[in-house]
Amino acid sequence: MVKTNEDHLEENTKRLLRAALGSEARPSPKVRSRTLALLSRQVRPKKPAFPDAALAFLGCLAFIGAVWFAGRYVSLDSITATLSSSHLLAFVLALNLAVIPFAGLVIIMRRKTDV
Amino acid sequence: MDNTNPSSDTRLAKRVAAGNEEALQVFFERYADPLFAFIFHHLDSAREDAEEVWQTTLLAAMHSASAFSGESRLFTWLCAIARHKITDFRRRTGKPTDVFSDVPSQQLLQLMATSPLPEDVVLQRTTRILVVKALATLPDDYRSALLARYVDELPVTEISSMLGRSYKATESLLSRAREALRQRLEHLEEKHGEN
Repeated sequence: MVKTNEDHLEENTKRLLRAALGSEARPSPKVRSRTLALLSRQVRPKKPAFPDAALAFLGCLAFIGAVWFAGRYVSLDSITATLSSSHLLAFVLALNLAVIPFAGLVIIMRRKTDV
Repeated sequence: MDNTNPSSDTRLAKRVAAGNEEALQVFFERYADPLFAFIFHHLDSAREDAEEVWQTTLLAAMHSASAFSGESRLFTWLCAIARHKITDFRRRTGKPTDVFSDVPSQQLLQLMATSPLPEDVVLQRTTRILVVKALATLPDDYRSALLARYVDELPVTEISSMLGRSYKATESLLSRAREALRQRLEHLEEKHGEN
């Protein structure tokens, strides 16, 4: 059977496409999906971070709160003399509040160093 | 979306730059595989090297997508970035510089629609790169149909259900796609000859 030009074009198209875009010239499915995920992460707009100034302000507020709370409910006498569970709870709460500004400070430092 | 229209490429690039994930998906589906093939052939089929350069090219393209002006096709722009990345990669790894001495054979076009192409022409690196570039600039439906039929070797019936067309319409689409590919190759080869 004599081949027509259309037959030749089809056969040549097939050979050219297989040579240029055969499976070996395509990224593996694993690398492909990993790359797409990487690009998606990059393209996704980053949520605006909580402002540093507001974080510092709230940290200071928590620290003042801790000092006030400790002054009101925790006294050195009460800890040493009568260590009741309510005093212990107040002490732990005050300590937690006092630690908040340091956590805020760490967050701000990490942002600055882009960790 | 019609990728043969430069303004559509510009819109796509702008949407990618604006952080639109849907646009990124379209961009990736349309250009990632041909770009990989382009890099793969330039790097003499070194897969791991090609994967690394491909990733860095895509990342660079995404970060500078807002700078795409639409003066060239998006794929041509991606190829230009890829060439820079390939050069950087070669310099960094001390791999030999691309001598790239093959020239596109005139036989490609003369014989394309008249007789079987010689094997050495089909396998020539320049030919493979030209085919990748030509295919990447075809409309999406032409490209999908050609790849499904000739690379994935799907039967026409399966392609027709995939594309939501009748058997006859799919055959006609494939015929137009083959002719469009031939014309794109002709155009690219002329441009290559001028350079």
